[in-house]
Amino acid sequence: MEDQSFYYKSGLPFSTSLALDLDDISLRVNQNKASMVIIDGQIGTGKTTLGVHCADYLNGAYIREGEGFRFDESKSIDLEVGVALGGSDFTKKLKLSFEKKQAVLIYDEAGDFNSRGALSKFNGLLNRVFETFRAFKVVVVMCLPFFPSLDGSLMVKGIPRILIHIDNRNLKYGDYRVYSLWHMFYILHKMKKLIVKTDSFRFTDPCSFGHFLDLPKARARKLDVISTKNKLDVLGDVEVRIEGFYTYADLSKRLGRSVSWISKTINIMKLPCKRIHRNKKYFDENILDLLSQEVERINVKQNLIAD
Amino acid sequence: MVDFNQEGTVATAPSDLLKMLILEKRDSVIMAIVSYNRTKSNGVSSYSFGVASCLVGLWYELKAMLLGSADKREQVKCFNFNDKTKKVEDVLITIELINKIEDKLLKNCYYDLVVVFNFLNDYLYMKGITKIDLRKNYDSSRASAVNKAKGL
Repeated sequence: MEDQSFYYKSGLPFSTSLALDLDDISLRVNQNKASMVIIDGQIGTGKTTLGVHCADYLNGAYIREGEGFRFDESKSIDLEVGVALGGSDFTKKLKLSFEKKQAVLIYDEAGDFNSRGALSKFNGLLNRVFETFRAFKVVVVMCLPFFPSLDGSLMVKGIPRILIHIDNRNLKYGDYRVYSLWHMFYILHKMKKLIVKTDSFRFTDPCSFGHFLDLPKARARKLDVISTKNKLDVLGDVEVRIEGFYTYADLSKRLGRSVSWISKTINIMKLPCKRIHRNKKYFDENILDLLSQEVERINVKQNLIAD
Repeated sequence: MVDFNQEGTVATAPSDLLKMLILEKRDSVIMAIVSYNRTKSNGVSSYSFGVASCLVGLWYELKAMLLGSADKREQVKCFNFNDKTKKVEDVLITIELINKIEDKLLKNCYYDLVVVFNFLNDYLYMKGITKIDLRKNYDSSRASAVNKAKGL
């Protein structure tokens, strides 16, 4: 009885029209073409939930039986492997998905791959991954709060094929709209002129509308654990940044010295770190002064030798 | 008229040249019909020979094309011009039809000529020669179909 609320009559947890679009995506991947599904929606609208539903479908967990579908749990995606949180995790898990023969990878919290960092090394590397990931025959389901913040070069290359925009969610179900790549360009164009950016979705008719249901409780709990762990990590990162701590890389940039020189000097001077977070050492402002003095001392010494 | 001495014409595919010739003939039929009606509206009795001769010109331009694809002649044995339920494609390419058109042209009755002209117009549209509304038909409810239709 409990299971019924997690699936519609068709046997799917989302409207059947989306299944047709996902079928087309699978077909593209089999033809060795890069395919990506973008899911966007405001915070807490259920992007990851819908992402997992789509990933399960693409991985063949919903088997067609007559006019409906039957869920085969053995073919559902392994959340530990199939959900990547952030860019660095994504690159690791892409390879892992390929090795484990999983057809889908969810790139959750994809906000780090944004247009503001278009020229950054991180975006450059991820762009390179997106250009080549078709070789792995993996469909990437990207979840992010606002798709226009995505690096625009992706769309010009035609990698994202459909956009699923989640516009509302209540306790029972969520509403989504499906847009094609062609629509995405129009939405982006319209957005430039609008003050309320999200209004641009109203100016274009979507290909289809639909609803989706929540994940079965056990799976939702598992997903929560993975997702919350990442959010705690992000929170920790933000916390150390807000407190104004410096990493080796930050100190290297500030002082114009190599990371290895900074690390070596700190070890020689036996300067203590203020915090260790995710295997990274963080130092406070005092260390900047001490290292600056050290740099100055070395410079003076070198000048004297030169004279 | 198509100028065959033009550099652009030399570089044009024969099928495109034929299209141009057909369009020229069609235009002349329309002009003849306009001229006929104008004369009539002034209260002067007029003959439809002008229309008929232009239509014969168009007809001869098309006839070879029709005969070339006459292997469908068995599809429809009998054709009625006024039967709108039948598709043009199904009925047009038959020897029987060619005979009917020629019969009508020989009768030289204005209304028969207009019927033949309308019919040939439909055929030209079907063949894409006068088709200018190039909107593609696709299933707009499927994102992939939209992407494909838009060349993405």
